[in-house]
Amino acid sequence: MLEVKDVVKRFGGLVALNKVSLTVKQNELLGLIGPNGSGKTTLFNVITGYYKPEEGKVFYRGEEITGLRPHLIVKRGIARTFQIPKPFGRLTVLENVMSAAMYGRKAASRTEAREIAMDWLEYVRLKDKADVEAKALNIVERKLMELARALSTGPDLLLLDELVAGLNPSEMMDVVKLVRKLVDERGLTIIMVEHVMKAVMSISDRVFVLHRGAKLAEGSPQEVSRDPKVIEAYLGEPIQV
Amino acid sequence: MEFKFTWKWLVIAVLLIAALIFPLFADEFMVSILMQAYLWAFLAMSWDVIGGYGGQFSLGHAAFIALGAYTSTILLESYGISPWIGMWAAGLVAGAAGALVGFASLRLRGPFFALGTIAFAELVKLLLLYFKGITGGPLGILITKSGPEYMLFESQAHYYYLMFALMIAGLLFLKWFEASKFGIGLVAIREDEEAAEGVGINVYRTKVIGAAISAFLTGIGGTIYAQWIHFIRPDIIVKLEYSTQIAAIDVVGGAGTPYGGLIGALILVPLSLYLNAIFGGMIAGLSLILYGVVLLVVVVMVPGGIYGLVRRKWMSRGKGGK
Repeated sequence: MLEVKDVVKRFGGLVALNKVSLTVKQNELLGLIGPNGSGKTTLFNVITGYYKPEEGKVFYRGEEITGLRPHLIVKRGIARTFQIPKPFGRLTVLENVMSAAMYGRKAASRTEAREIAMDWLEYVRLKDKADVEAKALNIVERKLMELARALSTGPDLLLLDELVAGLNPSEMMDVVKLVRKLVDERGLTIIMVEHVMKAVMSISDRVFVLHRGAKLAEGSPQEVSRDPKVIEAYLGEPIQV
Repeated sequence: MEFKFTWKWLVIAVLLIAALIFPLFADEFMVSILMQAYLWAFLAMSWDVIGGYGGQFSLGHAAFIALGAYTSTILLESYGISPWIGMWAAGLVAGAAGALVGFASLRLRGPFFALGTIAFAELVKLLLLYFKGITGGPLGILITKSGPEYMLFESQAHYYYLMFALMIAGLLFLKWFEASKFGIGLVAIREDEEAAEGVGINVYRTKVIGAAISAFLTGIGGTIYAQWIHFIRPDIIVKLEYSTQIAAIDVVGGAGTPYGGLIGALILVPLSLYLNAIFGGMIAGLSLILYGVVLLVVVVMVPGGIYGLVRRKWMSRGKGGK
């Protein structure tokens, strides 16, 4: 479904991504992990059009989308959330999510957009906050709103950037289950960047490890967590499954 | 709920009737002041599209007044086309210029955009002076026609109703605009450009069109202004003072809301007219200083303007009641 081929992204002298290749199959949940600064968010930014790679290509459903502007990539069916939530602060939660339904892939009318938005708000259990200004939300609610907003664009492929970071363990497990259900019940394909090992390892079908801008390992959660290279990259921390 | 509904409409009806019968009881001077407040309210609402909802602080909107005023006045005086038609052409000419300013906003941020718009207004002034053959250069154009078919009236009361209708139209437009798809998109960009792109909003296009709409409305306001003042000249319209006044009115009233322009104009326009009447001859640039000070105070002390302040008080009172 998604194919990233030999992507190179530099910032001045720093090579953030060094010939990274990655494929994602339809209806798969791919966990993307790696230490800080390993290039996970940069890779997301390349896929979603925020960065133009110096080398390499990105294909989606067989079509090249390298360097397309972000709003056009959304219309192809790829949506994302941001590591630090970016709410439209002075719009209400409902308007935030509605904007995605109106401008996203479906280009819904206002009435349709309202329904789509309310459905997703209910899904992430934020319906009772619909008429609150987004800037009044706490961090957990902001993240859930971003998830609902990304979903309202009508994506087939969803990129989640540290969705559960900063959540307490029980909130985290709730959100993680919600994400898994999107794959199992709604047929979405998801790439999930996460620092919290427990979260990634428990729900991913496959895990891709980035280290210093290059692929370190790839495989099932069990394989990856036993991989000596991965353990070393994480400074010897044993990874729990 | 139902009580609140009828109560709200009752207030609106009373205010409407009061505004409509006002010229029957007030003297010409008072009518003239309120009339000007409506005109400036409309101009501030027009500014609000890009300045408030779009978050792009333009200080060059006097240029769009001028482009609108000159377009319809030239059509009227040289071609005999009524401003009732000419004002739409005025809007289009100003709107096209607004699109150019919108392009500039893609590159220039914050204060640099504001400076860019000041420069743009100066450029428009220079062009109006330069093309003497069409614009009359520094001498300007005098409107010589008369009659309501040319949007020219005998009494201030007529202009009062004209400006009132204009202001109401502006208010209704903004009410509709802020809930529209385009309005939500524009505010989304103001709040977070990256996230806006991330939900599929074409940021470049939306900014350019937003600026064009703002300028279109301001251009129509320019026509009405010219029809009232009967005489246009580059240096009396394209003034930094006017550009600042438009922005100040909206920010004081509450930028990014349908009511901000009206509230701000009802306070600032009478104030500046009185102050100018008292000190005008003695202190040059007094109103510019006034707007500067007022803008600063409001931005620092009451972000969100008077409307924002009232709404916050209102909402917190409502919460306390429950």
